[in-house]
Amino acid sequence: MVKLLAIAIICFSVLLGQDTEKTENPCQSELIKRAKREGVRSIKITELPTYVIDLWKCRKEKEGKKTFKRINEKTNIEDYKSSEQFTGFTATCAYCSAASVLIFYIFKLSGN
Amino acid sequence: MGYSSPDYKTFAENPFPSLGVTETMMVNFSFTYQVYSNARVGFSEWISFTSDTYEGEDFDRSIKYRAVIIETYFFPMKKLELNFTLGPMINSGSISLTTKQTVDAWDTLMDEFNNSSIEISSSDEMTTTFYGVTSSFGARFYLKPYLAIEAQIGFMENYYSKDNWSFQGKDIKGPNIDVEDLPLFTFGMVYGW
Repeated sequence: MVKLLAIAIICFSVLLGQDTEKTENPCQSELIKRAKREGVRSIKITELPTYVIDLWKCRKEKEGKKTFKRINEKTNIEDYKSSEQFTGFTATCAYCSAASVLIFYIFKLSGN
Repeated sequence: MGYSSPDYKTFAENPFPSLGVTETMMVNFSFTYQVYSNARVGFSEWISFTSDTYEGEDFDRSIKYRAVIIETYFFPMKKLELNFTLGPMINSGSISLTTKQTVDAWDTLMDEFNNSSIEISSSDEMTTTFYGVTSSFGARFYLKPYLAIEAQIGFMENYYSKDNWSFQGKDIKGPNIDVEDLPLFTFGMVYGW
């Protein structure tokens, strides 16, 4: 019990001792700026909690809505650009899938 | 939600409970992870489930269709994705029955402590595993970058045998059901990063 308490105090002290990144405007945080620039998929999963907290703070700001809209639009554009057409093996998988479904329904509907 | 049309022949007859909505409407959930600019891999499961009484005892029957999937996709226009899914399936079926009975030895022991006889609940299940393949294609519309609605059409090809059931480590015969070639329609919400 005493050990656990000691560990908790040490952890708490370390957390308090850390310099937190303070920005005047939460909508201008590094992660939000990156999301605006490259879309939301550029945020790594490990950065997600910080990003969500930044977004939560940003929603109260004047330009909050505008920022959200811009991030969403940029993400849609980036998704479209990166997956506009099949690359590599993915086309083969798609053809196999589409062909097998079509053949299945042709046989099913023809009663075989 | 997934819609299909299996023929649960044995289960459709008395004294089995009515099949209900889960005969054709199955609950479906999937997890996928993007591994390439146009491809995701993941796991998908469709569940057909009945819980009712059989001869007055608690009866559960579930058939779970599980697939390891590879999903390839492209965006013909912004916010709209067309996707194509392929995958092998490892399915399982289970039938469980919970019965209540009195056991003489327990009754005697209870009597020693001046208790009246007590009904003992006993539960066990028979299970099976069968394999299959699934394929489908569909469209996904992104309402937000992290939220989308999706519709898919496809099929499942299963290799089920009623002789491959087991109960308490012994091979037994199971119900006669037809789940060989099932059309599959799936509608759902997609949430993710």
